[in-house]
This record gives sequence, C-alpha cells and structure tokens, in this order.
Amino acid sequence: MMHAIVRLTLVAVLLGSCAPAASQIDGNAHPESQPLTAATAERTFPFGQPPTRSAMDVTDKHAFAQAVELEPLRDLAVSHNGRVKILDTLARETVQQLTGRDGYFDVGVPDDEGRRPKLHYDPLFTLVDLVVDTGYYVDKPLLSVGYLPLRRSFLEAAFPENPDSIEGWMRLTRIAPGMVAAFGEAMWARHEAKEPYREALLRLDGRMALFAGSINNWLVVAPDSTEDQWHHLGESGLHAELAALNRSLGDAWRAGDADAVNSAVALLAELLPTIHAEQYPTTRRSLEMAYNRTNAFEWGFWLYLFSLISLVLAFGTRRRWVSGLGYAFFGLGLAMHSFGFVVRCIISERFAIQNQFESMAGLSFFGAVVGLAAAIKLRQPIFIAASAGLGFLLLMTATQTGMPGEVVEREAAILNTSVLLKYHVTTVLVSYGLITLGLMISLFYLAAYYGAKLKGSGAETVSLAAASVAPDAATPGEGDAPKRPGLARTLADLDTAHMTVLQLAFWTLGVGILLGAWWADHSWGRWWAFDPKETWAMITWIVYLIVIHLRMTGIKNKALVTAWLSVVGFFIMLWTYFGVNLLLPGLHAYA
Amino acid sequence: MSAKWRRVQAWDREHLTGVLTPVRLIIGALSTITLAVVLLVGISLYSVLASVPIGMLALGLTWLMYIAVCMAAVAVPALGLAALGRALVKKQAPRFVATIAAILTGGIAGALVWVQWIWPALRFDEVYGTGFRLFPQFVAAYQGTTLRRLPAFEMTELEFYAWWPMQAMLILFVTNMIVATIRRIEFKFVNIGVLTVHTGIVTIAVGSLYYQVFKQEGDTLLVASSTGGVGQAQQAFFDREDPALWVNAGMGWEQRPLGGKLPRYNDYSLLAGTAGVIEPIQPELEPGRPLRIETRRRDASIVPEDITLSIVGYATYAEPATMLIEQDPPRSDPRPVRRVFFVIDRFPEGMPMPAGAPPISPDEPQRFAFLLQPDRPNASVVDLSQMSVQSWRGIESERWAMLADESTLGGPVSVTITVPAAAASITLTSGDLRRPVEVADSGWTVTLEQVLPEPPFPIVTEGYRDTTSSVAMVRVEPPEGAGEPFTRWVYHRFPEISQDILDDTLDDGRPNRRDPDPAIDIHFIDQSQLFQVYLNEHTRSDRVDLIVRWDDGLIVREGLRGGDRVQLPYEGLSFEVGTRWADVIERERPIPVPAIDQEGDFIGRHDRAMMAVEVSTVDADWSRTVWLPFARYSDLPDLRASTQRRVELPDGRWLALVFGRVQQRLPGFQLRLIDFEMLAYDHRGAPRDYQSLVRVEPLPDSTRPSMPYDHVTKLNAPLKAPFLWSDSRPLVSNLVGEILSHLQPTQFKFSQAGWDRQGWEESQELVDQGLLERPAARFTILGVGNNPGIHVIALGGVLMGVGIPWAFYVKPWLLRRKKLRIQRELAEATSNPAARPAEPATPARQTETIGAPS
Repeated sequence: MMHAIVRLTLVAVLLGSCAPAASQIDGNAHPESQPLTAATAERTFPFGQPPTRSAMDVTDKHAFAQAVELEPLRDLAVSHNGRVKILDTLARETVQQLTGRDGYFDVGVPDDEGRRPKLHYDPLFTLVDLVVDTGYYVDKPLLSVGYLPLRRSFLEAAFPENPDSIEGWMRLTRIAPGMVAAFGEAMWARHEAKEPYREALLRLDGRMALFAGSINNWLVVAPDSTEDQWHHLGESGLHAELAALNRSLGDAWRAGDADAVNSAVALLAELLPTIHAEQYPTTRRSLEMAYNRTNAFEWGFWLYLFSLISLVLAFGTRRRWVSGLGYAFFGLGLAMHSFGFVVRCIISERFAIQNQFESMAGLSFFGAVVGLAAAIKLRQPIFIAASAGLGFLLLMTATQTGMPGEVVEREAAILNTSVLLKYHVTTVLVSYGLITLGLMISLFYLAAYYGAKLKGSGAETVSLAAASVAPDAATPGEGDAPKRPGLARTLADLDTAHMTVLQLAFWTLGVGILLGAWWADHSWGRWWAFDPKETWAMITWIVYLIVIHLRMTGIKNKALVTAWLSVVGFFIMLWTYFGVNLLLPGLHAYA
Repeated sequence: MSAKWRRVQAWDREHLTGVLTPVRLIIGALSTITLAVVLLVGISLYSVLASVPIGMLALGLTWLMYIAVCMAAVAVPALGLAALGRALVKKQAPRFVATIAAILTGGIAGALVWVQWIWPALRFDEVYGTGFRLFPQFVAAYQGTTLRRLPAFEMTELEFYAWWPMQAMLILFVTNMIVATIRRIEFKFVNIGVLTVHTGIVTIAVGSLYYQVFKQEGDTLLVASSTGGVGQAQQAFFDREDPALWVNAGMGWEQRPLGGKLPRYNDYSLLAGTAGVIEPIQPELEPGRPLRIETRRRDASIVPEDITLSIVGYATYAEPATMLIEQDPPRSDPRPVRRVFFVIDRFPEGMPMPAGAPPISPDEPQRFAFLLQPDRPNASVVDLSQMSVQSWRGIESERWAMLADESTLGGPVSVTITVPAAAASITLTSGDLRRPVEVADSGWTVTLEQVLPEPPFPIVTEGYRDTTSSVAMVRVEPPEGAGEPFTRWVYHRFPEISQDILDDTLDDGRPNRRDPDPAIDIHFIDQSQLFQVYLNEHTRSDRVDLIVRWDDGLIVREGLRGGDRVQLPYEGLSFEVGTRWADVIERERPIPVPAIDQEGDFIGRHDRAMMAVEVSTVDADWSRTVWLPFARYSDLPDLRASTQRRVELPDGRWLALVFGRVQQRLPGFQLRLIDFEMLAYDHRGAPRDYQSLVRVEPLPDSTRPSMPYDHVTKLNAPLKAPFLWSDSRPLVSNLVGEILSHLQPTQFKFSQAGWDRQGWEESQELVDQGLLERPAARFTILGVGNNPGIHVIALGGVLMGVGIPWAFYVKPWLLRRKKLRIQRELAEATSNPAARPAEPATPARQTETIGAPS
C-alpha cells in the first residue's frame, strides 16, 4: 500500500513538471562514452587512502614496477563504460586517455653522461599505481595536452623563468596534474572564448577528472544477477576477506614491498572470480586477452605492407620466389586481420562494423576478401597487390591515427535492433572496399600510363603493369579484348580489371543505399531525408554512374578518364566516409 | 553507338526539317548521354552546396594547396632519388628494385621533412592567425553555415532540395533518360538489364512525386497515466518543421501556420519591442535584418477580426532576458526605478577590480551603472563583493535611524537588541559570539550564536525568492514566565522577514517557525564589506536620502536628486545618483547566445529561438510587441503555461500567444500510452532499446471494427495505424489492406523517437531504495509519418537492384555465348562450306562493350 502511495505521489509530482522532451531521436547515437564511472557515497578507497606525497622517487618507482608481478590481475573482469571487460583493457584505455600514448613513461635521473633514460611502465601497473599511490603523479608528466599553445601556456605559468624546463616538458607532450590544479582556472579565464583552447581545456578537464577519480572505475566484484550493477572493490560491507586483502595490497604497494604485493595480487586474482562465479565471465576474458596481446590489426598492416612491396618487386623483377613471398605475406596479413575482426565481434557481442575504427577494419577486410576472390576467379594477381595496398592503408590509418572507436564500446541502440541495418552497413562497406580496390588498380594504370609516356616506349613501367595483370602470358584476363602487344595490352587488361571492380562497387553501393533507404523508411519514417550522409553516398554513386555513362560517349582515352575518375571517386568516398561523419551534423551520428 | 540510334538520327534528319528543326535539336539534346552527365554533375554540385558549409568549401582551397605542397615534398625527393638510382644501375631487375627502394626512401624522407618542418609552418592557428590559410575571415565566419542558411535562403535541407533549380534538374534528367532510352537502346531481351534500371529510376521518380505531395511527418508526445493505468488520449501530432503562432482570445486555441516564411538560421529585428527601454541594450548587439510577416486569418477564426498579428522579429538562438520599459503616465501602483553609478577616477589601491572592468584612465573616469528597484527585494540590491547598495522606498524610520547611528559602527557585525517594555538596549559585535548576555536589566538573555553570509536554506518568503542576505542567529531566553526560549533569525538586508525558530519541531520534522516576538526587537547590520550604501527613495518626490557606511565612519545625505555625487571614503571613488523613473514595466527580450556556446542539435529547429509578435488593433492606434519562446509540445498544459505570453488590449480584451509548431489531427483514431520501458544491456549498461506499449483506439465519434488494439513500438519496430496486419483477418483482406495502406496518405507509422530519461533515472533511484517496484517514465515521444506510395518507390529500387547485375554480368555472358556460337558456326562453315550461315554477325554487335548498360 505504501509503495502504491509513493508511486502515485511520485508520478503526480513528476507529471506536474513534465519537461520539454528531447529533440533528436533517442538511441540514434552511440551511448555516451563514460571513461569515468560515477562516484557514489558507499565507495571507499579499497587500497587505503593514498598519501598526498609518495614515498618513492622516480628510480624507486621504476625498480618497484619491475619487481611486481601483476599478470594474475590482467584478465580479471571489470565493468566499465557499459560493458564487462578485463583489467588489461581498462588499463590500456585509462593510460591512453590520460597520456595520449599506449603506455606511461617518465624520464629518469641523468646518468654519468647527462642522459636521462626513458622509464616505461606497463599500463596495468600505472592503473593500479594511480589509485594506490596517487600523490606520486601530482608533479609527473601524466596528462596529455595536444594543443601546443595551451601546453606552452601551462608550462610558462609553471616555470616562469626557466626556458629549459619549458622546452623539456614541451617535448614530453604532457603536463603534470599539479599544474592543472594550480593554473587550470586561470587558463579557463584567459582562454575560454577561443575555440581551440576551449576544446583542449575541456579534454584536459576530462583527463584531470579521470586522474582524480580513476578509483571509481574499479567495479570488479560480480553481482548476483544480470539486473544488478557490478560492485565496487571498495564497497563497504561487501566481503570481509576481500577488504582485508585490498588493504594489505595497498599497504605493501606504498611500502615498496614487491613480494608482499605479489602474494596479495595472486590471492586477489583467485578470490574475485569466486564471488558470484555464475556471473563472472570466463571464455570472453581469454579471448579479450588474446585480442589485446596479438595486436592483430597492427600486425595485419605490416604484413600487408610487406606483401605489397614484395608483389611490386616481383612484378618488376619477375622473380617467382618474390611473388610467392608476397602471397605468403598477404595470406598471413589476411589471417591476422580475420582473427582481429572475428575476435572483436565476439568480445563486443555484435557485428563489429559500427564505428569509424571498426568500419575501417571491416571495410579493408571485405575489400581484401573480395580482392582475393577476384584474383582467384580471374587469375589476376594485381587484385592481391591492390588488396594488400588497401589493407595496409586502411589498417594503418585505423590503428595509427587515433581513429574514434578503437575502444570496444556498446553500439547505438538503433543499430542494435535492426538486422536490415547490418546488411545495409555491410553492403556499403563492401562497396567502399571495392572503391578503394579500384583506386589501387587505377594507380597501377596511371603509373603504367604515365611511366610509359615519360619514357617514350615505357620499358619497365610497362612490363610492371603487364606482368601485374598477366604474369603468365598464357593466362590473360577475362577481358576478351583482342590480344595486343606491350603497353596497349597491359593498359587494356588493367582497364578491364578496373571496370570489373568499379561495376561491382557501383552495384553494391547502389544496393547498400537502397537497403539504407528501406531501413530509414522503416525506422525513421522517411526513406530519403537528404541527410548529409545520404547526400554524399548519392554523390559517390553518381561519380561511378558518370564513369559508366562516359564510356558510352565519344570521349577519347576512356580508360584514362576512368582511372582519373576512380581517383576522384575514391576521395569523394573518403569524404562521405569520414568528412561527413566528423564535420557535418546529421542523422548518421553513429557512422 | 547502337544501330537503333543511327536509325533514329537518320529518321530525324529526314523528317524533322524546316520548322521542325528546333524539335529535332531539342529531342537530339535530350537523347544525349552528355546531357545526362552534365545534369548529374549539376545535381552533385547542388547537393554539395546544400550539405557543406560555405566556409568549409572555401577552406577546401587551402587544403588543396596543403595537399599539393605535401605531394611535392614527397614526390620530389622520391623521383629525384629514383632517377639517380636508374642512372647508377643498368641491369633491368636490379634497376627496378633500386627504383622502388629509391622511391620509398625518398618518399619517406620527404614525408618526414613535411611533418617536421613544412606542416608546422603551414598549419593555420585560429587563435594567433599564424600559418597559411586562404580567406581566413570568411572561413571563420561561415565555417558552419551552409548556403541554405544564409538570410537570402533560410531553408531547411528538405526545402532546399525541393527548390526549383533542383526540381528542374531532376525533371530534365528523368526526361533525358526516358528520351535517350527510347531512342538509343534496342528493346531486346539482352538489354533488359539497362531497360529495367532506367524503368526503376522513372518508377522511383513517379513514386517520389506522389510521396512528396502527400507526405506528412512529425512527432507526438504521449503522457503516461498518473495512476498507473492508461495515459490520456492523444489525437494529434506536431509537424516536424513547420512553425505556427498559437492564439487564444478567450475562446480556445487557434493555430496560424507560418510555413516557410519564418526564418530559422539568422537573427531579425532583435530590437523589436524595445522602444522606451530604460537600460542600454548591449552596444555591440547587431539587431539583424528587418522582418515583417503577416499571419493569415482563416475564415473560421475565433480571434476577433480587428486584431492583427504580425511577426516582427526573430532570434535564432537566444536566452530570454528581462528589460524595463518606462510606463508613462505611471500606473496607480507604480514601480519606480533608480539608476545609480559608481564612478572611478582612480582605482583605490588594494581594492579588487570588478570582473570585466575596463582599465581606468585618469582622464576618463569609468562609470558603472546599476538599476535599483526599491519595491522589489530581488532587484533592490547591488552586491559587488566588497561594496553593496541597497534601496528602499519609504523605509521604516527605526531602521533608517539605526543605519545612520554611529554607535553601530566598529566591526563586521552589529546586532542591536532592544526590549521595548524595559527600555533596555544593547549592541553585540562579533566579539560577543556564543556569549550569553543579559539585555540590561530586562531579564532577557541573548546569545549571538552565529552569523552566516547566506541563510542555510533558500529564502522562500513570497516576494523574496531569488534573494539572499547574511543572517544572524540569536538565541533568546525570555525571563521566567514570559515564554519559551527560541532562536531568532535576523536578516541584514530584509529585517522584515526575520523569524523565530522554536525548539520543538512540527510533526513532519520541519522546524516550528513563527513571526518575531514583539517583546524583543533585534536589528542586524552586516558591515563586513568595505562599505555599504543605503538609499531611501522619497514616496512623494524624485529625491532620495543616502547613507554610506564603512568600518569606522558614515555619511548621511538627504534630499539628493539625479546628478548629485557623493565622494566615498576611498580617494578616486564616488557614488552618483542617476535618473529616476516613476514607473516601469517588465518585458522580455532575447539575448543572442554566442556561437561558441550554441548546441549544434538545436540550430535551425526553433528550439532555442524567440519570435517577436506585434499585436495591433485596426481601429485604435495601438500596438504591442511581445517576444515568445518556443514550445516544442505546446499541447502540454504545463509547457504551454510556461511559454505562453499574455497581451492586454486597451479595451480590456486579452490575447494569449504561443510560439509552437503546426499541429495535425490523426485520421480517425487516437493513441494512449500504456507503458514505457528502457531496455538496458546487462548490469544496467547503456540503453539497448526503448519500447512503448501504445493503445490505438477509434475517436469517440467514430467506429473502426479493427480497433482498439495494443501494440509495442520499439526503435526498429514501428507501430502502424489505422491498418495493422491481423491474424484474425483473412489473408486476402490483409494483403489488400497492406497494399492499400502504403498508397493511402491516411496510413501512419509511429516510431520510437524520444523518452523521459530524467523521470526514468529518478524513479530508478526510488526503485533502488525500495520505494518503487519498477522505474517509470512520464512520457514517450513517437515519430509520426505517413508513407504514401512507398511501395512504388520500393519497386523502382528493386528494378534498379536487379537490372544492374543483368547489365553488367548477364548481358556480357549472353553476348559471349552468342559470339562463341557464331565463331563455332563460322569455323564449321569454313571446314564445311555447305553449313555456312546465311548472315554473318556484324562486328559492331560482337564487340559491343562488355558491361556497358546499353
């Protein structure tokens, strides 16, 4: 009865203040990323209150980091940012967020020759150290500031008459949390009105909040049901043995007692999976560990690069063993790529093509697979070289340029609930992969054409192109064009291969757009809204429509025009793919 | 060139001559592929202009130059080294390897040079203006402005695409395609692919035309029941884009659609309705272009005929602010306002400068102006941290005397306690904190318990909301038999709202308060600031009395008038009495939000806009302008009440106005929200889906056999109404209904579009506390849209999707098969002349372009 009264009262009160509603479609954007879990009153410091000043200096800290054995902690589960992951992943994400790098490093004391060594730390060590010995980092180069003028402003305030220190810290690309605490407010007051400063200050505030509150992310105790949230390690009254263990770990850590730390870590790693064991993940932890350890996408792009170089050399030198090497590198690259893609799908519990990073990994994967299939079907190794180039370019861009979405997160609700949408996205990504493949072939064509033109007769360049299309003279492409000698045949075969890819790209892009329109009609209620993403997909499609129709007009050198239009189409696709998402507002907020 | 096209051209040349020559030229142009390509390029460029900000387009030139420099930086060393390598190595294979190695080495070296030196020098810094950028000011000004947002256009995306240039290009393109298809492509089985694709495009075009004519879309908010049952009925939805002025003259609400006339992206006449304003509008404010839109009165309007309503101003993204307008002649219950100035000739040493204060020059004294409204407690005080001004009109003489009394000086706190019956009085200072003191020999004992800069709870006394004041808490113990002890809260600025807090509490745990006991008077003067200025406006003239207090002195001046200046106890600082207005009224006006603080989601949607409406009467020479904030769901009573503005006409009539959206009725049915649920990932992760359980029922005055029915609508599972496939109907009936429903404009889909996050999260907290069984939302928002002709469009899409692979893959396969057959027949004929075919295939047909769709 009491509940009913409370509920009625609540609803009546709430209705009395019925708020203006949201203006955008909810669920249409990725869930807001929350690198820092919200704090609650019930949580305390599980490892004891960290002192404001650390007992260790730089040398002690690094020696201690070398002595402790944190492997048992690495694959423990933690609930963070909307999903259950492993501590190793949380550590990588936290350190990346704070420092802008894969790992934290500091500079040690100068040696006899005055050189200051770089002291690198395991991200997992940094993650634990940040909550056990927080005070150590107050004056350490921890927080990345990418915007140079802001970094310089902080350092000039911190070291007013010490240009050497300023330049030294400038090179570190990071500043100390103490500097933010001391001068952050003044920087806001001085620079708030200037957009670049403001953005940089906002990012810095986020990093500072993560530094100060990373303890809130330690939700490592499984609940007894899927309906409940994971428990914080420091939640009062949770588990007496756990609390004692945490405390002893913290005390030993701050005392620099590596042996005691190691034994506490081992006990903790044994205990945590036993609490509500039925909710504690098992296989997925191992997979995520394997995903983290292999760095499959990074290995993938290196292998693709080696393959590309090998195949180009093989085409030029006609050495079969070099081309064999190229195929082997390609096979290994594709294997790593496939492994990364599949494992990511498993640990993210979805078809992992739903943010910029994933779509690039997926796009290059589809492109490489289609290229391999085309190479086998049409017996044209040029497709392997083009696929290797595509894989190298896209995976390198995805992994080395801070592409949004590298961290595995939950997908936008609107993507989660539609099978149709998965077909739409996949088809469009396949078409993008084919467009990129088309670019690679067009570059071969242009290199062959202009190389030959520059040389007059075009000896090596022509032979490169000729060999690339048909290394075995007895195996022409399926172009069925009359056999022509030298350059003409090379260019004709390249053109045939090019058109094969572009036609497929044109069709898959068209079908992808129509599938998207179908889904948009179903879910948004309008099949075509001239959203920037739709508009630019249409423009991209029009480019290839023009390519196909121009070949029926009376223009000269259709193949050359096609090659150049393929380059133009690729850049328009690139803009559709990245520029529109990042720079133009629209309904495709998740893309 | 196909044989058919040659035949058609020959026929044209033969028959379309003389006066028909223009027809031949036009048909000839419409038959060309070149025209199609030109039109496609035109459509693409138009789309670029529609979607990319013009500042970004201008920036594109700079980026092209960056890329050119980058390519040069990489290519020059790469090609240079390659040339060197080729010159040094002669054998073919090693030379090729050397060339590739040189290109890679040179390219990487060039890239490093670019990253290390060239790019840092070229990169443009927006704050300092260093680096290279073409048209930097234009780029900065229009970085987020697409062409359609400029004042000359003021169009949404859909409006811009529906504008005549785009329509003309699309019509021309479709016509070109039809003509070219008929005149150039053989109607043969082998060409069915390209014919299907072209038919598909025409089908989509026809379907889109029908779709565009009848398309309706918007959203509707369904309110949950307050008793846990079915929510109230919703019979309408709001248009997605079209704004409307809602008017109520006492007989109900009427909407006046503003269509595409109302701007969206730019400010217009921001100073509308500010005539007579007594405070200066920001001098830097750009008022914007003039605007005047007459709203159209419908024949059946319930608004009196003599009242005209015109839109005379629009602020695209603004915060409402209050302005004071002089009321002349004053009303019977006037509201006076006085302007005062702090004048600084030279800033005193050690005194902090007010935030944003300009530098002081001895030759140009700075004057900081403030408006004081003595009758409004929340506008009667100016507090600048180290100094303050407070104004009254007809202050209590006792209070004024106390402020003018030198004996109350001498410390940050002065609390004067008087027991009138005993004629006893004492003054406590901060040194007396927490020390019981007897008030002379009156038998009353008082203890100054604490002095707080602000009260522990916000002041909720009517008329004093949004005010604050330091407060002294004085424990009072009456003599025996004179009552129970209590604590008096005495406010420095507003002694009239002082209260006694008794020791016992009310049943609900709240403190037991009462009006101050008249047996003891307590006055508190907070003089913790450097100095305080007190003004007392005369009730019968425009003169004012003034007291300035500081820690060890005070100045009293009486009968001051506008322009009089009083030197403050700090050299270089004075206080000037300014103009007094006998009566003012408050009006709203928009303050534009700087672009840097605007949220992109709200731009162009009116959500943060304000619109100025001029109400005038035809007969009387009278008009009034009022600014209205936007109400997205103006059918919600609370939201409408907070956003509507009332205008009183001189003859006693009134109008209520709301700036909202056009509302459309649902055709013959209504919706009710039964339940809403946010489905989260495990362990209360991010939202996975949202679902509303909705009841569809016929309107009270109509009957539909298939209603009512309940349906769950989710993100990707919309509700359909009034027709919904039902297992209780025969299959044929369902099929016919399904097909017709996609042609009829009265069939609607309702998609999950918004939810009450705040209510859900608050109720989730109550669930966690065990006070509720499950979380609840106060409302859900459904996107509403009909889809007339969508199946026609879908058919066109299917035709395209099927036709392309036919043209690219099936047709070449058919041609190759045919070619092989002919070759085989020719071979047989060569070996056996008797078997020679009657007509050999023409070379043109054999080599027809593989993959080309014609």
